[in-house]
Amino acid sequence: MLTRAISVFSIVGLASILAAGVQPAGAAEGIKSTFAEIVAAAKEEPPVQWCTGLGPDESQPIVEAFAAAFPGVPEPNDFECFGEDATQRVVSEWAAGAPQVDILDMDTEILQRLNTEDLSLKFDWSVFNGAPVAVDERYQIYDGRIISVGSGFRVIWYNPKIVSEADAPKSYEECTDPKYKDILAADVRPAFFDMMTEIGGPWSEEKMREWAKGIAANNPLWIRGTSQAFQVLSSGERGLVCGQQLHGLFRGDRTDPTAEDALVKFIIPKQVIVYDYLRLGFAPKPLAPNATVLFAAWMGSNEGGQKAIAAKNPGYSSPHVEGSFTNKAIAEFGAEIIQATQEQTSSVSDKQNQIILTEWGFPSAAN
Amino acid sequence: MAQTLESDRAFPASIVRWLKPLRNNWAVISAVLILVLLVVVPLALLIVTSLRVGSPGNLGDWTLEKYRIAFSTSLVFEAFTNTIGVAAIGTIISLVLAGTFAWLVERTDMPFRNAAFTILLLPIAMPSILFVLSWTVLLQPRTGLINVPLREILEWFGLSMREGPFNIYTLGGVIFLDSLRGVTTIFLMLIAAFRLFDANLEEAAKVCGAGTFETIRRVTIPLLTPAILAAAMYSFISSLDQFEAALVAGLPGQIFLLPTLIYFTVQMRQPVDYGLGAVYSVFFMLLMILLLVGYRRIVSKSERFVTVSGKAFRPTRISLGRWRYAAFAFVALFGFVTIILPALVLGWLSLLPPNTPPILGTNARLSFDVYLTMFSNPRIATIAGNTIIMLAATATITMAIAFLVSWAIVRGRGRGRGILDGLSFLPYAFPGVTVAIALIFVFLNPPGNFIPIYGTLSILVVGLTVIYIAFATRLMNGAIAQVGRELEEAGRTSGATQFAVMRRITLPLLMPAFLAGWIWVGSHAMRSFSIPLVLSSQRNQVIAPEIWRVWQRGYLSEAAAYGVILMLILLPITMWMRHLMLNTGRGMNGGGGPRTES
Repeated sequence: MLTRAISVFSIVGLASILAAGVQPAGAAEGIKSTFAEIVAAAKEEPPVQWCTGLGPDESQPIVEAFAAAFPGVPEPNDFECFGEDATQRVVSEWAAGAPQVDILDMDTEILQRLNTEDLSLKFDWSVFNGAPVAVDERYQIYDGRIISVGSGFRVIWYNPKIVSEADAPKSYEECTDPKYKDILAADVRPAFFDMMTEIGGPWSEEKMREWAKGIAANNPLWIRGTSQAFQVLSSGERGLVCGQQLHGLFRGDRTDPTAEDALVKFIIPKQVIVYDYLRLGFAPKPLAPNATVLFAAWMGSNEGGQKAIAAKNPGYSSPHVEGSFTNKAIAEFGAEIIQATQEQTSSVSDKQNQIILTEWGFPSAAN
Repeated sequence: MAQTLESDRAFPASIVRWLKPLRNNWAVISAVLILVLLVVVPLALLIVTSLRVGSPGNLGDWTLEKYRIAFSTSLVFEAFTNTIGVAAIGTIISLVLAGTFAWLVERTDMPFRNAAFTILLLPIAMPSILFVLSWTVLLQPRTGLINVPLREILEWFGLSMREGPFNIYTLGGVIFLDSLRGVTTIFLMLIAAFRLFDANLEEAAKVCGAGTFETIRRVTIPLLTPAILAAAMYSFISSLDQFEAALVAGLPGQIFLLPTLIYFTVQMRQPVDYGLGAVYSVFFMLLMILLLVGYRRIVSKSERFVTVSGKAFRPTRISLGRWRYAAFAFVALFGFVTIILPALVLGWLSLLPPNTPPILGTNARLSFDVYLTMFSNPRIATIAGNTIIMLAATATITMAIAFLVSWAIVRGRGRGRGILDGLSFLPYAFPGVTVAIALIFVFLNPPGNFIPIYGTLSILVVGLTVIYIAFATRLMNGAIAQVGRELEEAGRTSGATQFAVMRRITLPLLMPAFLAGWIWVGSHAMRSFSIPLVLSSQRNQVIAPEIWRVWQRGYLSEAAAYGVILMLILLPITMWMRHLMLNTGRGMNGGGGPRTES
């Protein structure tokens, strides 16, 4: 009996150790030089690992469309990567030469570092010129280090049962009004980069500091990300969040924010911040190199990912395209678009974080 | 013996002379090596990172700048004060509750004492993250399921409030959650002391005319003071490392504790700062090590207060009179607050349609849809498989190392034993989040990055082994000490090697303790949170941090369904542990108590 028990333990232990240590084989081969060769090589590689900010209901139709366009190429493995912790971890893994992810949706704050420290793959996308997955130059950021897909912009979310449309702020400045004390929730990852005068916005550093103080004085509930914002507003725990992404209101089974009985509605502020939504960065040594660039090029092509993403969520449509949902909404609210380039935005991101987080009393680069 | 001499002849005499002490002490040497790799290397890397600029895989120049930054603002001191405050107040509350429950179960005539014991053990079946999440739903200031009806009641009395009266997102909320979670473990520690306590002394006090309360005040409590102090110190150290309540209830109210300050610095804020996180971690560890030294002193002194009489005497239970049923109701209330109510909340949440706010008066149709969706999702099978592999590997490796280390400590010779004992106990001072960050530094920096376990289940197993090794060695130390040396000596005399004696004599005799430790480590690994949260990636996802991630993404019903399933798995394991405890006649934690990672 005892011998048997010892044997069982030994087998369980050994099997567990072996199973725990198993690594999928990574194919670190070079990237081919023509579209046809890349497609052929991609068919022999493992599935692309795509760590995305999209929800599964949004990313899955995109990878399915890609799989349909390129039969034989393994369907990319899309998984929702939530928050800065995921971004930071993936980039650290890349820097340490231990990639677990091929494609990552980048945060603004890390783009600059990615470029200056050369932490991601910089690719010449002209290899796809003339192919069905040609990537327009306007979607190539940092000389091809990043591919942008879709548009996003930040608005004011409110719960109409707590704050009426008439009472809701019409600008970010109004969010500091003391009448919103104990009603406001604030995201600990502020994204008001484009408001800074340094890159063409209306706020000086002093103005941003004052604004941050005003927000903190309203005793906000501190949250992180659109999901938590939706949760606290839809439940009625808080009534207002300033500077959340519009597309977050159209996600999953959430109520249509334009409907009369919507749990959470939005106001487009006087000055609305528009930015490239998905910014795809690539592992310096992808596990599936050819499949990675093929999928990325398809995502950046007009007939591929650009189209698929806007079709899935109207919040991702470009306000610069006449007749798109966001274009019409901005016109309806009479708002002015503020849009800096990714390079500009990224160059001020650390300073913006430092100013706002310091005023909010969170750990920042200043302390 | 002949074989040994034969092998000796194969080497030059000088090498044999040099190797002989190594061969004779192989167990101590290998145990020290293992512990150095598991304990000293991560700790050293943490200190090194705190003194260098850059990030893992890309460390730069040496600097003290991070220390200057860390201590030039009030934030770290606020976090320190909050951490100490939560731990101190939480400990007092836990101790009072646990002491009362232990006394009621062990020394009074309270009815349904077996049921009470089970009730007090059940919170083990609910991982902390689930407990904390469900209580945030109950005590959110504006929409909490308790606050809303309470405000309506208060309104009848003319008290009108917009929110509250309770707010979970405060320091008080964190203390509330921490103190309730701490009760079960302290109860198990104290009940062992109550059982070993010589009730003759209480009888003598009564004979001399002392009443029940005077006896408790002047005899029971003074005699149990060392055990109570040890439990208090243990609870205090555990509370310092509590992470889930600080993360879920503390951060929304901007209440930083040291673990969440570290987590925020290296994972949440932009840009992350690993160096600064390492400084906070070093500071936190030093604090924990100081407390650990104090804890060991208290525990060593408590052994002088042993009052086991050795007489076959069954003490008379103290009569509670008409308070008997009230006492049991008190225990039942504790069970309701710590297990029934949170479980009901999770069950209800799991039946809500997606994106339905968890508020009273919701007209949403309840259904089991989320469970059906979950079971058809292959990802769930992967997460379940990962969790099982992780718990089996952690439990097996931890107990195997603990056996080797304890054997070297108890049976070995020389000064190495003291070092070994200290090294094996040191991880008590390692907060989970700090261990995880240290392992990132180890396996993403040279030379550790040549061992490709980053992002795999192996790194989780290593982290959890570090955390649980202290408890496992305490358990095995006690068990090995109870096995007579003469059996092993007989084996050696019969020609068996040291390894053969360990494998064929010592280990089989210790199998019950080994098994008990295996179950304890496995069940705790299953619900572990902070280490997998920091170290898990796409390939090594396990259940407890996955619940939190799913919750954060807004899929409350799915997260709750995960929780319900996890509890259904942990419930029989908990009942098995209860069975083991009752059969051995003492709490498994009687030897000083483990520090749990979750």
